[in-house]
Parts: sequence; structure tokens; C-alpha cells
Amino acid sequence: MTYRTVQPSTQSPDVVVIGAGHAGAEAALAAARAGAQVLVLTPNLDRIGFMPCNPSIGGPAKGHIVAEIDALGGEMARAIDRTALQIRLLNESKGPAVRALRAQADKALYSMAIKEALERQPGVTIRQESAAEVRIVKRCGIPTIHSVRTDFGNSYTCGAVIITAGTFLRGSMVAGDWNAAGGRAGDVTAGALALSIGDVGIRLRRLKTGTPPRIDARSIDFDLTDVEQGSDVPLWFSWDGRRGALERLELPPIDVYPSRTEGWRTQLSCYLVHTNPDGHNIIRANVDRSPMFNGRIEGIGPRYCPSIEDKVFRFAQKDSHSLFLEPEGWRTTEVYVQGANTSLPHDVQLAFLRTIPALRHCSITRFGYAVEYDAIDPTELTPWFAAKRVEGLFLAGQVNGTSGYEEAAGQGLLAGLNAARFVGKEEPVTLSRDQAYIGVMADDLSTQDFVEPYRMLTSRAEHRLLLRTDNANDRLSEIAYECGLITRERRDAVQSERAAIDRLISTLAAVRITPSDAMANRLSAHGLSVPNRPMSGLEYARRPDVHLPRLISALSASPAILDRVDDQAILARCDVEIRYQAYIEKDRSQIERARKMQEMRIPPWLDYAELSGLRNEAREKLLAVRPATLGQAGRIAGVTPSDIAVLIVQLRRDSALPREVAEVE
Amino acid sequence: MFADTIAAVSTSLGESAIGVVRLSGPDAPEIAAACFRHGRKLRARPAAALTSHRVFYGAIVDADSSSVIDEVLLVRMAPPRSYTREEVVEISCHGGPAAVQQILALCLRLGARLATPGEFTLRAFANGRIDLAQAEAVAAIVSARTSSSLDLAVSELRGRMRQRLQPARDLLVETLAYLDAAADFPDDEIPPFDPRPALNAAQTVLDEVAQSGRAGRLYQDGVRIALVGRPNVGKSSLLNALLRFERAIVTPIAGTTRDVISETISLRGIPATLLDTAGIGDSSDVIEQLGIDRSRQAARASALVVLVLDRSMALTADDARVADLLRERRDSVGNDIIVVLNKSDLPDIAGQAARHLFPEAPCVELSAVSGHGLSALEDALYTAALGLAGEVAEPQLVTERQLNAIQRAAAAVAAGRAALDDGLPLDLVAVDVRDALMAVGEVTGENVSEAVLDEIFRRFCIGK
Repeated sequence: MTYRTVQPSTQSPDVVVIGAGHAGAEAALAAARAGAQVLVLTPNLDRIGFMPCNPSIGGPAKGHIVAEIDALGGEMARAIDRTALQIRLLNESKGPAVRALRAQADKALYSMAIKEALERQPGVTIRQESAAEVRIVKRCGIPTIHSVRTDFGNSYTCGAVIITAGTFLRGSMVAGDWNAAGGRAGDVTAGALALSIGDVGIRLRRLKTGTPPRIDARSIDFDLTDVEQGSDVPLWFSWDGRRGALERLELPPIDVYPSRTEGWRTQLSCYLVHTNPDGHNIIRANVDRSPMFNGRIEGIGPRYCPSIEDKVFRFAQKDSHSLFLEPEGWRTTEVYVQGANTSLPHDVQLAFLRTIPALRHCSITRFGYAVEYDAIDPTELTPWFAAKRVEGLFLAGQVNGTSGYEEAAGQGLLAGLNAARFVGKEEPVTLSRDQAYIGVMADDLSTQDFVEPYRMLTSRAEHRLLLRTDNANDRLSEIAYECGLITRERRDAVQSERAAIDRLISTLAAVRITPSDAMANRLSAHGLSVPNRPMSGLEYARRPDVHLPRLISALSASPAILDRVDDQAILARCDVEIRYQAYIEKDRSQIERARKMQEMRIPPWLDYAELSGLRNEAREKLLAVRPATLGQAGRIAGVTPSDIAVLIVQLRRDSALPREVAEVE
Repeated sequence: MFADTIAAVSTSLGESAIGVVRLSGPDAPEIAAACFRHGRKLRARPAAALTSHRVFYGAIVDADSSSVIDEVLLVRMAPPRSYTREEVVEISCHGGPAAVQQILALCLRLGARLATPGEFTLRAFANGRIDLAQAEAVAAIVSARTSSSLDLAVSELRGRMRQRLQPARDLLVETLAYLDAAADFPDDEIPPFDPRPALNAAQTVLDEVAQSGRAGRLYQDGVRIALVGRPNVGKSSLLNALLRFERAIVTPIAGTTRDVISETISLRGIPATLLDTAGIGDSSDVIEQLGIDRSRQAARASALVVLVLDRSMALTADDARVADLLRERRDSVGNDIIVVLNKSDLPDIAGQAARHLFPEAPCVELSAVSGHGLSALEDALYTAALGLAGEVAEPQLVTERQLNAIQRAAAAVAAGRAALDDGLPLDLVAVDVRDALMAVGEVTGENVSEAVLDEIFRRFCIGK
């Protein structure tokens, strides 16, 4: 990779990205790859792609988003592949749809990798400068982005703005009696920007999140923990990683961590400990000092990420909860205490942790705290993350009320792409619910009235069997190529891999596996059982005891019935598609059947207030969201099947009478 | 709101003692005021004086001819406290079908429009008075053909369907919560869970509801019963006896009934269509042959077949041929057979031999002429019709769409069970359970995914 030598003019960029976290970075990269000149403004250039909370990326649903970001040419998968200090495959036995990678990152190196990507990207300029105001003017009566004014007094005229302010809109941190303004310990808040967003009438809501304490590795008695090691087989999030086309960023680990594995790459282990009733009693005794319990925090926190005090109170019958100790980097002694989110006073945090035998001498390097912040109501957005009220304004990431680096990055990518397309006067690009988790998220956010921060879950994807990590490239590389996000070579390579899979499956379908002596010898020689009746190769491959690579070896042995296939990735993908074919096809046919109704368009001028038959709640929701299709309308919380029936009647009536209506007018 | 006013007779014509004419729409009170005369003195009243939700006694008078059509009770229901949430007026009269029709005609002359079937319900639905499931239940009433169906439809309006599905829905939500929690939160301690007992229990509930739904469909759609037998055993007489009026031509000459005659009776509330078929016998008559072919088709299309035999004479070769035909039919189609030994008023010649034709089938001796034994046949038909739907304590009124959704839910649960038994991974089992829940949601109108998430967070301590 080469670095550009000439910087573009930044006085009037096409797109200004405010913030350079996980959403901002992907937004800037995607916008630039789609052809825009991009200016990134961030108050602190040392916080690009920063991980303020957990030091990990991936997991079920989140890992799926990372795979999709990679298929769409984004950076997150490459960055984590370059900087991981541990990678594991989760849910391997639970089925093809929910298998997912999760990696522990070296936080500092990860941030460095993202910054490097931005610096290398032609069309992107980064600037340490705080946005103070997004200036909006009326064009033809429609509020439209004009420019961004900064605290240095600069003004950047631009076609589109992407706000990725994270938790910095009126962010406020609290732990016990302590509190401070800011979205993250060590960084200041963005109060003026919140006012600027509120001025155009975009609805804001108050949310809450939290982070656990970090402890010094030297104060942990590792002998009293359970060790969790990384994968001993190579695992990669990214296309480039699988092809060995990545430069790894790695440091020799310091010697405070007792367990590490060598092999395909050096990996650090994580450590598991458990809380006990003594610790729970300490929390109970001090709960009146917890801001979340004594009313000092009003924001709504996520249920999937409860504080330790929440866990102790809501699940009083459980006398033990798991905590994972995760190193934050190769060369730091700081260890993240996964599962111990808290806003308890500092002395209580320490006393509580010290009731755990492995942590009885632990020393806290950073205390946990809760953050309250403003997020916009995401039903203010289109499914491509454009603000409905302001032309040219896009929002992505935690500011939209989501949680998680991956969710933020996925939104950033789609927002960046569409901001560039908006400036280039091209049609917006959306992803559908049966195409990508990012599409599920975009659709959920733009239609659902969430009261807690939104986290991606596989259970939110009704077609999750089609949205696997192994087929993300199949799903998205064509659209990525058409939008300029990936190269033609990459798209072609994806297609030829797909063709190889199809070829193998159709060849197997044509092969007959019979109980004949010749076939029996061939199968037995490869440790495969002999069927008691003839069947197709596909049917045979579906049997639980059949290992596909072994079957291919058996059939390609001389005299060869089919060609040898050595590519393990292709074999693994074939195995999934063959084994679960019936389910996959059922899902596909359901989608096809529902598509017609789902895609019925609702005209934007439809007057819900005048529509008799809608329940009041549904009318309010529909007015607020203004869904584009019937499918979207049906997914809005508070809109029942009866309301949809009213809409169908209305739409049918409208489409039946266009001429008469025109004549009357 | 709709601009016009509709009117219709809202009780079934000819059956009940009281007939009700119903009006709905903005002009309903004015139309009523124009033809209603209050009290014994028949005083005209302005529309405003017809207070809502009060019963007025009086008469309907045709102002043109000044003639009293009928003595009536009138109720006005002002919106929103009316069935359609519009102005509604109901006029109850007791003068029989003719008076009811005259009152309706008068209302139409005064500016109302004749309502199309189900239009009141459509308005109730469009104006937000009832939800989709209720509208569907009412739509079932519109097409319901006997009064028993109506009772069912009414109890459906009280939302029993949702109640009955609730246990299945709860079990499925619980199951999916476990499966999804295990998938989405691999680090959290989700206790091991065997979905089989919950799936089995859900299956039982769904099967029961589907079963009672099929029985409900029986009350809506009815059952077809073919009367077959060789010529001149008295099929047409039997049909007539059942209908209690002459419809088919009855003559002593064999082969008079050349076509299939169908009539609908109320079999204890189940609409039963009786198909009187031409006698199945060896015939060279072309027209009769045609009739016989149709008879065979009718027997094939019917769920129940009544084999009519003449008890007063020895069984003939034709009787044996008909029996063979039915045996063949029963083995391939599986329709139920009831044997009728007709002419029980005459000496018994063939009774014993006839019983041997279908020893396991119910056998009823009767005389179509005297009517003796007819109620025993009705019992047998009713029992057999219910048997088609399975043993059901309480038939459930469902629309075809609801029944279809419940059956899909049951099938999805069964698929999930099979997937478990085949050792397929949990995420595929979850696909089936989710399908089942979504199908149940189509009937109950509930959003599935939020319910499952709520259950996950209520039940498990999730979180990192």
C-alpha cells in the first residue's frame, strides 16, 4: 500500500464526518471509496477507532456484522485480524446460523490500525478540530445542510454531514457520588452540538450505559481462575486475512500473563472467575449509594448489559455470576473485568471485587462508571441513516441509540456510502432484512420505538439462516462492487468461489452412492460407512456421520468420480449448504411469498390522520415513522395486523382510482 | 367515516319470529324519523327526539299511503357507542318476512342503500370498532347458514381464540427464549434445556385448537352426504322425509331420479348437504347412465355416504354391486358409510343379510314413508359428521385463514421435534419454533420477537 503525497483542499469537502470512532471511521472510508472528498473532524486524533469499553470485537450477530462490513469493503474486520491477541469460534455446535468469531484486541494497536487506514485512504483528510455547530439553511423551504462551524472558528461548506457523536451529546459520567461531564473518561462532552441537533426538531432521548473497572494483572491470582484459550486453528474475519494479505500488528507480550498459546499466531488467554454471596452482600449493603438505584441516573440502560448491582437485585436467587478477565493489550497490565459493569462508589467496587478469591489482592487501575447521554430517536432516520428532517444530514453509531462497536461501524459504513451518493445525486442504497444484519438493524432502527440501547442479536434476524458469516461475500459483494466499495478483482474472486461451491454441489447431486462392492471399498478406505440402499451423493453427505472432506477424498481417489477439492473454506461452506439445504430453501421460498406484500409502497403523502379505522396508537406511530413500505409499517411496534389491513384497503383503493382522483382535482 | 347510509335485514330471512332492519350511516336517524310513529297515538318525532340507547315503541308507517306496515320497537345508537361507530338505528318488527321486506324497501326509498353482505362489519372494522380477528368471525356469521353457527361466531367475538392459543404461545415463547439466549449469549450460563416436553405440550394445544377449528369449519362449511343405492330402494323418499317437504320426484318406476338433487338441512346445527343420486344399476339408458356417473362423483365428493337398501325384499345383484363400489371407495378415499334399511313398515326379508355387507358401519332401520326411525338416522349422521372432525368438546369458530395458520403452527412444531430427533443443531430447531410462533401470532396479532426478548431478559441473567 502506498501513501498519497498530495492533500486535497479541505475548505469545501463533499462530506464532513463529525467523530472518528467506529462509526465515523467506516463512514469516512466508505464515503471516500464511493468517490467523495471527505473531511473528518475529531477533537482528539489519538482516539480514532478507540475502544472505550470492552477490548473485544465480534460474537453472535456482532461477528456477523463484522463479516458484512468486510464484504462491503469496510475496515473493521481487517483491523481486528491485524491486531487480535485472541480469536475464538463461538457456538460451533449450535448451528450454522449462529456460529460467529470473537476476538480480543490490543486496544492501542486496533486504534492505530484504524487511524492508519484513514490516513491511507485517498479522499480522506483528518483534522483535530471540534465541530461546534451544524449550519442548516432552507432551500426551497426544505432544511438543508450548509456547513459545519468548528470551535476554531472555521467554517466548512459541504454537501452532507455525518454525525457520529457516540455518547458525547450532553454526556455525563457518574460513579457513586462522583460525576463529571463527558462521554468517556478522559474526554470532554459535545454540548453545543446537541443543541444544534435539537434546534432542527430532531427528537432526542436520554440513554445510559456503563463500563466495568479495569484491574492490574499483577494483582490477580491466576492460579484461582479458569483459563480460556484462543483457537488452535486459523480463524479470520476478513477476506484479506484468509488470503494472507494482511500485515499483522503485534508486540511481544509482557510476562505478567501466565497463559499464552503459540501456533498459527501467538494468543493470550482470558480468565474466568465467579462472584459469591459475600460480594453480593456488599453490593446489597451499599445499593443506596448506587446512582442507578437512588435515582441520580434517569436514562434507560440496556437489559443485555446490566450492571453488577442490577444482576444481584434482579436475580437475587443466583448466588454466583461469571466474570471474565480480559487483557487489554500485549504490553499493558490493565485487565478488563467483563460482567462487572457498575456505577457503585469506588470503595464499594474494590471491596466487592476483593471478595473473589482470585482477586482478593486486586488493585483497580480505572474504576467503572455509568454514562448518561443523549441519543436521537432513530425513527427520525431513513433506513440509510439520513435524517428525515434535514437534507444532507446523516447520523450513525451510538448517537442513534445503539450499543457496540460493530453496530456503530455497520451504520457508519452505510451512512458514509449514502452520504457520498447523496452528494453525487445518486439513489440511496439500502440493505434488506434478508440480505444483511446491517439491513435488519437499519430497518429496526428506522421503524421500532426502542426504549433501551439497541444491540444486534441473531434472534432479531428472522432469516438468520440466510445471513451466515460464511456467505456474507455472496450476499454483498455485488452491491459493494457496484457502489465502488470493493475492486472488480475482489468481486470476481467471490463469484468464482461461489461457482466452485455450486459446481461441487451439483456434481455431488449427480453422483450415486450405492452399496456395491467397489463403492463400499472406496468409502471404507476413507472411514465412511456404507449405505444400505443407493442414494445421491447429496443425500449421503447429509447423513450425520459423514464428513464432507473425507467423502470428497473418497470420491476423488483413483478412479476419480469427481475432482479433488482442497480449499477448506469451500468445503466448509458446501457442508453447511448441503446439510441445511431444506431449511435454507424453505426460508427462501417464504421470503419470495412475502415479498410482494412486504414491498407494497406507501406513498409518502398518505394522510394517516384522515385514515379512518386506524387505532390512535398506530396512527401516531405511522405519522412519526412514515414507513416506505407495507412491510416496514407492519414491523412498527404498536401497529397491529388490523392496522395493516386498513392500510392494505387504503392502498388498494388508491391504486384502483388514480385516474378519477386526477380528474376531480 | 362513510358518507352514505346502508340498510339491511340483520336477522336471517324467514327463520326467526322477530325481524330486525338495521341502518348505519349519517342519515340513519332522519330516515328512521321519516317512517317511525311513536306510541299508540302514532306521533311523528324529529330525529333529535330519538334519544340514543333508548327503546321506542311505535309503528312503521308508509307516509305516502299512510298505511301502518308493522308494530315495532326502535333503538337508535349514536356514535361511538354503536356496532359500526356510526349512527345506527335498529327496527325490530314481528310481522314475518313480508313486513320486514316492506320496512327495508321503505328505508331504501327514503335514501338508504342496500348493504352488501358483511358491510356493517366492514364499517365496524374500518372505524376501529373491532379488530381483524373479530371481523373475520363476523364474516363467518355472514356466511353461516344455521343458528348454531351464529352462536359460535358470537362466542368467538369474545376472543376465545386468543385465550385457547395462549398456553401454546407461552410454551413456544419460553422454548425460543432458551434457544435464542443460548445462541446470542454464549458466555452466559443458560441452563441446559430440553425443548421436547414444551414442544410436545404446545403441539397438544395446537392440535386441539386445530381439531376444534375443523369442527368449527364443519359448522360453517357443513358436510356433504350422498344417498346411494340401487334404483327404487327409496332414496328420494328418504331425502324428502329428511327435508320434510317434496323436492325430488318420487315415483314407483325405477330410475326416476336421473340427476343429482342436492338440498341442505340443518343437522343439529351442522349444515348438511344431502345429495340424492340416481340409482346405481346396470342401465343401458344413456340419460340414466349419465346420472349414474354423476352419482359416483357425488359419492366421491361426499364425506359421508348413506347406503340405502330395501329391507322388504331380498338383496339383488345390483345391491351387491353398489356395496362393492362403496367398499372400493371407502378403501381409497376413506369416507364413512351408514347403512339404511328402508321400508321397515314392511316385513323384514333382507335385514340380516344387509347387516353383513358392512358389519362395522352403523345401521339404521327406518321407514321413509312413515317417518319411523328418521331421528335415529339423524343421530347417526350427526355422530358421523362430528367424527369427521374428531372428538371435540367445544367446536371453535375459525376462518379458513386462522385454521390454516394454526395448522401451519402445529406442522412447524412437529418439524422442530423431528429436527431435534434428527440431531440437527439448535439454531434450526429455533427456525421451526419461530415459524410456529409467527403462525400463532397471525391469529393472535402479537409481535413475536419482542415477546421472546422480554422472556430472555426476564428469565436469564444475561450480560457482560
